[in-house]
Amino acid sequence: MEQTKHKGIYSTWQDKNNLLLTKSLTGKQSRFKEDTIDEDGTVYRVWDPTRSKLGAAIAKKLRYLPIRPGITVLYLGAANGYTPSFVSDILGEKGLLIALDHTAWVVRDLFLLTEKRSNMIALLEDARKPSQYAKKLPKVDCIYQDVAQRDQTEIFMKNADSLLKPRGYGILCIKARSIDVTKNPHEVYQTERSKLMKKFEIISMLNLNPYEKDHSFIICRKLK
Amino acid sequence: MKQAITLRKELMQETKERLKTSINEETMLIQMYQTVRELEHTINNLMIKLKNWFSCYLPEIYTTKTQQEALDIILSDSIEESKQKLNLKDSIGTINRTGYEQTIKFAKSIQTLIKTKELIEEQIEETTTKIAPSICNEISGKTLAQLLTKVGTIKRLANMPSSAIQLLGAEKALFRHLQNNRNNPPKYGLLAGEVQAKTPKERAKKTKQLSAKVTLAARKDYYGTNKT
Ligand SMILES: C[S@@+](CC[C@H](N)C(=O)[O-])C[C@H]1O[C@@H](n2cnc3c(N)ncnc32)[C@H](O)[C@@H]1O
Repeated sequence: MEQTKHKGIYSTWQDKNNLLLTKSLTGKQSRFKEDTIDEDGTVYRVWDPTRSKLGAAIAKKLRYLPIRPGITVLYLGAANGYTPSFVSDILGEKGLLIALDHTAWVVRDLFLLTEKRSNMIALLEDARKPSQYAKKLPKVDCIYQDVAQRDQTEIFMKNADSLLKPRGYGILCIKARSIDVTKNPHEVYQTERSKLMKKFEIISMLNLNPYEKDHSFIICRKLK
Repeated sequence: MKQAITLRKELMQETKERLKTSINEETMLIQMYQTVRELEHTINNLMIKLKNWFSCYLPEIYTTKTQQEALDIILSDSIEESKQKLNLKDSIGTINRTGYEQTIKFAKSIQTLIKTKELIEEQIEETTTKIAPSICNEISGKTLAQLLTKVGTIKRLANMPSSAIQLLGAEKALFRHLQNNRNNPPKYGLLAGEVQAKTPKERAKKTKQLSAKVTLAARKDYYGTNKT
């Protein structure tokens, strides 16, 4: 096991493949049929970049990842929790992951996952209406957005307004096809980028090919 | 840190309560509809296998026209009766081969699946008529359930413009049209299955009329006063 440049994320070589790993908070249990590797009593879970946009971004040599052990993260669009489970591993026992989705169907799976992870909270809420949950939550260090909606940038910014700490970080998966199928993806990314630039400093933009088609992975930081 | 623990406890309890009340009749309909579609597909495949296998004993089984007819013949009391039902004096097959008993067991299982599918279909009709009687005056409960798999709830259907309802189920064609203007825009979606028409033009017109009716009915069912 080798620590990568991102704290909490490890890698190892197996059959000529470079695997991404996190230290498992749940031992050998694997809810997503992911492989686990045991080394000297520490269990690692194998993170498949083809199933996770964050995994893909790391496999594509993302330069800086604001998700680090011990911080608080709000995750919008958590779905059944594949990516969130790895974020939870990275944050470790001292961190906190608030995972939110508006589909009862997937939140049931997410809830069962969350019960096993003491640093994770599952919420059934609509990310378009942060006013309904902002008061209940603490301010967070980082917001991760993957809701695949037409107004995803606006959704992110609304949440950042009420829940992100000053100088906190944002991570956005921009899916060009959910925003406008008729436009060239690059045009879409530029439009979303200029919306963000009013209140955020753009740290990096990464294209997720070949893992995900027409996705841009944006890292930004709140100006104040 | 202690604070985080209590916060988690409270919020998780709240989510649990919400999950309990979040399952509505529409969710059930969507599950039932998807199960019926899956069963239809599976039953078709299993019937092909069954006929292939049974044809070793009685090749004439291929002359049957419908699935139910084939099943009725296979599930006779004896192979003699099967032959009679097919009006055969003699068969070119070989009846005394191993596995005959097992094919019958297999056929019975398919029969059970068909029964289950029919029961679910009845339940779909019952539930849809209960939650949306006006819509069910215009289209079958099964089609309504199919619409619900696209939009989720009667409420959303009631808030949609008729033109959008008309195109539900034609999303692929619509996106193709929007991406490159060479393709014509689609004129109808899954509601077209509910109308009788000879030409595509007529179908488009009738589907348009039907979606207008469904739209009104949805608003009546959702916003109407005599709502149960
Ligand atoms: C592309 S999936 C996320 C996949 C997940 N991030 C992963 O990598 O495992 C998008 C999710 O966003 C959710 N979503 C869409 N709109 C939402 C909204 N307004 N509020 C909350 N969740 C939303 C959907 O229910 C869906 O589960």
